[in-house]
Amino acid sequence: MIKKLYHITFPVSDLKRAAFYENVLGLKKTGEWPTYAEFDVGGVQLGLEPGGKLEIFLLVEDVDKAYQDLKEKGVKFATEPKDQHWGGRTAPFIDPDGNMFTLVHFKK
Amino acid sequence: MKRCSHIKRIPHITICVSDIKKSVFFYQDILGLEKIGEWPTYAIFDIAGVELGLEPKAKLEICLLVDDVDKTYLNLKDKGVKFVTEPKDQPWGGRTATFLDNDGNRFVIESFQCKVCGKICQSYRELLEEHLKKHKGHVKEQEKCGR
Repeated sequence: MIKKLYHITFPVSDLKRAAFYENVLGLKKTGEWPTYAEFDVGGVQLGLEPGGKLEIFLLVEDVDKAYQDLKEKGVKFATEPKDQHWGGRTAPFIDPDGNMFTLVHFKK
Repeated sequence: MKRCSHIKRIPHITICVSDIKKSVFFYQDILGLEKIGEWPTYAIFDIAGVELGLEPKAKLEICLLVDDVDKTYLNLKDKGVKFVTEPKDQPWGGRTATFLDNDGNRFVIESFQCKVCGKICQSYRELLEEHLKKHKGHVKEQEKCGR
């Protein structure tokens, strides 16, 4: 069901500090918006978001099917599957300790 | 400023859980992830080449694969990066050094070089399964690896 660990978002205080990731670590910036910056690290995306929480995105073939399957097994979802403005469809869930994961697929 | 191009990929992240056994059930039996290893205070799962580590009381750590931890450490230290640990061989077989970004997020530069045959592995799984398990007490296996 889970194909890839696709993306990790974690919090920073100020996106101007994202220069650290580009200029010091030498990561390739793949996108920057007023409240988000994204870098590629060998095929896994690293997202920085002021005030964000750690979120791990797991790529699946079909978010709705994976949602149904996991929900039947008792997994707690924060929202139902939802289309996002950036083109993905997502459904976030939490593990038994409250760590946040998000199922994602991209429309073909 | 010259860019550091040593970072190859994210081989591993560690997240905090409260109870390893409970979490192993969730990640293995519910999410269906493949378990690579389980110890009393650590468990690792494979997600298509990226390893997810679970550790009680851990802080989030994102690992960055490099070929040479010491070289990358010196390169980043020269640029003013704050390291909380110096390069160090770990009992589990890798070599690591930990630094903080400007907000205190923890990153670990790590390499997986086999100390028996010298091969630089691309993941802990490769080091564990192709080298550590095979070399353990097997001289012939070590010979096969070129030593």
